[in-house]
Amino acid sequence: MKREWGHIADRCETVLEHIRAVWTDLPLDGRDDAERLWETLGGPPDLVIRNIGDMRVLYLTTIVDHRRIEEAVIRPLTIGSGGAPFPQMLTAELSTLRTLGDAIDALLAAKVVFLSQGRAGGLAMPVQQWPQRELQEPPAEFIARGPHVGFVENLDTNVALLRHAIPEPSLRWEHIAAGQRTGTKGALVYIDGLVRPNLLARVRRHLRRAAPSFTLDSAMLAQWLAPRSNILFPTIGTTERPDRVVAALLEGRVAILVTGSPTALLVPNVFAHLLHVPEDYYQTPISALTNRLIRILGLLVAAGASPLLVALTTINHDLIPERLFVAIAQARRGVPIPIAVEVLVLEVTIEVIREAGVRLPGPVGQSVAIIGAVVVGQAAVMSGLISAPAVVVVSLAFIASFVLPSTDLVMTMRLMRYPLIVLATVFGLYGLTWGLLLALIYLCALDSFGVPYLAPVSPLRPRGLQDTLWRRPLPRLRRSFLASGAQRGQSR
Amino acid sequence: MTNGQFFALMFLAVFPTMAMLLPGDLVRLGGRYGWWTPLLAAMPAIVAAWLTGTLGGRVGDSVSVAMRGLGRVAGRALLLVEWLALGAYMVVVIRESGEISAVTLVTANIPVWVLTVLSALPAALLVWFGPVVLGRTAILIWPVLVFMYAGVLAAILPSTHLIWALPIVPHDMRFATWQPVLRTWVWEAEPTFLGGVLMNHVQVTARKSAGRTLVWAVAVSAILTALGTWSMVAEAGPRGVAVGALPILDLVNRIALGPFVQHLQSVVLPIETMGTVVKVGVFLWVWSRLGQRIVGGWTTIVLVVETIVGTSLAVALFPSVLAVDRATYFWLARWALPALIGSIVVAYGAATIQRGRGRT
Repeated sequence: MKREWGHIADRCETVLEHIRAVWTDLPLDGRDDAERLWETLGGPPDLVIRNIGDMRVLYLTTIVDHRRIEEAVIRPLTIGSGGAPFPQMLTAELSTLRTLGDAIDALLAAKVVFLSQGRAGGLAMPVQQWPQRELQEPPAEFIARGPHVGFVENLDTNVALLRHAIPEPSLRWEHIAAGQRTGTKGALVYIDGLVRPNLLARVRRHLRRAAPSFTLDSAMLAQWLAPRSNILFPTIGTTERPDRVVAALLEGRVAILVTGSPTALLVPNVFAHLLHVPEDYYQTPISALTNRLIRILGLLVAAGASPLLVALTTINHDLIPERLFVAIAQARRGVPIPIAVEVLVLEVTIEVIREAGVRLPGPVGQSVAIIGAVVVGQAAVMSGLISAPAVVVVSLAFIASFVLPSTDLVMTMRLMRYPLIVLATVFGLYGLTWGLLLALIYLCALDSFGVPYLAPVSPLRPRGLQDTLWRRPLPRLRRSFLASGAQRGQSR
Repeated sequence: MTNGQFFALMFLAVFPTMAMLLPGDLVRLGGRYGWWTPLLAAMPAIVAAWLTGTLGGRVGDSVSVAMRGLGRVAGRALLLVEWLALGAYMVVVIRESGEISAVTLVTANIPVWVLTVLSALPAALLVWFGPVVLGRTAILIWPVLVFMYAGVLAAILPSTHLIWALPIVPHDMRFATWQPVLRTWVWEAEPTFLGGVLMNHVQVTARKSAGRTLVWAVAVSAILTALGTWSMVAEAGPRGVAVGALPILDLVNRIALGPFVQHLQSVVLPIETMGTVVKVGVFLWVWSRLGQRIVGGWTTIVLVVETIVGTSLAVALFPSVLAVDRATYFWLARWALPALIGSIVVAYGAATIQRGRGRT
């Protein structure tokens, strides 16, 4: 025990020597630094200034870890080298401060600032204690099989999760600025050697050009990074799942994490990525294929079912089998409004119910959804205000939209339905075709950080087809079409 | 642009309207052996496409070659001829696309001019985005179109009467007379003058094999049209095909697999419409490129003006489908097609002569 205390005392001595050595290099004209800091910050009530000998210790009491301050700062400084424990981090994490700005940044970043009476400059040591929740599975990206863990709001924790999954020196990350006013920091993460250098350069350029004054969530940064001409389809992927980010990094993509946000941004993000989920890789290829086909079907139903009903029952009666047409006509007998209006009203109603369900607390939201969907819908059909086929088709389209893994894509499909319904009402199937063609042209014209949005299908990249609809068995899966040529031949 | 995209563009520049409009005419003129005509007419079309593709890849396109070989004034005059001829083609193609929409998909009382304008708008949008987007769109549509076409032909197999389509070897040569062959050339020559210009203004990855790509586009279109026409003859008989305006549509209408799988035109025709729009896009792009070369720039203005002029002329000049039909065979076959081929020959001829002089 005595030997251990002696060892600690030696270390404390070394640290204090280190502090003194650093401080001897600083000028000696910093007498009012603490007061100037206090004034610059507007005299915040949580700013603590403690005088310990000739040293002034400053920190914001609301954001620091008091236990660490006590153990790592106050005790060693007050007791000196007399035998109190002095954590190793004090030497490891000390940074020098030269200007008032540095000191303010350090204070706001939850560091404790050391200033000396009569000497310029200072030192800072991180002692932050941000409120942080437990690691848990993201509710919006739940999977039955695979790791049940999600990102949190702490950048260091999120980077640690990635480091844990890829303990390789090639995993690189660099700090980025994600908010000028808020001083929000972020991380640009990639795997050196897998990411294409031109992609990395492009992402860095976009990040430099994007100058958000504040970023509360990575979604805000995504809006700065996305091309302004794109208003419909998500060209930047988002996920709260570390395994998804790891898979993306191994594909040669780049991830962007932001302090305070549990959502990682993934670039480039092509259309095919919007239909993939991590579970596809934990299942057999045939199961993955089936699920992806179901998602594509869901996409088509979500976008086209309601407009198709309008087109076929309003203008192109001759294109549906007679028995089906008769069944629809009988169900619509007595309905006072045209089917196009009926479908539009139903679409809006279902959106209102959904929005109400989201805003209200869990159980109440569910009740509203049930009352809205079942009770009101049933009553409306029975009273003859709307027809059952319209309710069935609109509900089916609504449910089908939730088959899509990307919430951004779900929103896009919802928005696309309205102009398509109008076109189908006026021009029938031709209008629907016209609208879908415009959407297709728009998709063909889009790209995500230099990668065509519909790649690897258009333009055709045969290597990319190994994991677009059909996923090859994992042992046969080769490098992604997005990865750098330097890793040619390596399996994914 | 990849070679695949280039092929897709050239294929769609021929096939969607050819498969829809040509079979009826061929059987009307050539009888039961009318299906041979696309194959027969493809031979010179293939040679022309190969020559243009190969020369274009090595020497340059007919536009730049004309300017180089004939000088600025004479070169521009030749371009003007080419531009007018292609304009005539363009106007007919826009009107055809409107007509196909009117006949196939729209049963409501919507004026054809509205549909014609609606067909031209996405094509103009495609051109505005540029040939790369045109290529990306084409490569998505052409396999679906071919798959649909093959599916239709397979679906009618059970109801064919081989007696109407056999023997394969023709007994009479009506199909090989000037008129059906010339009509087929109107379509099959399209890759020759479109591809020649397009490939030199777009970075085609395998430019040296562009001639081969053009040949494939003509050959695949010709074979599919021949197969389709043969199937139509076998299904409906030569008379049945000859009386129909759009026999392929009649064919699709007759497909019924059980009581529910019927009226498949709702599946087939949207793809056909999309293919037609891409075709209009290719024509519009090449036409606007020629226009820009003549006036020396003004990319967007030329595109907008040409879209408006082309669509307006398509609506104003052809009040009915008969007028379109007449124009196809009087304007295009007898005037526009020879003018286009002639201007290409003159351009390359002048370039060769100038090269020879330079050597001496």
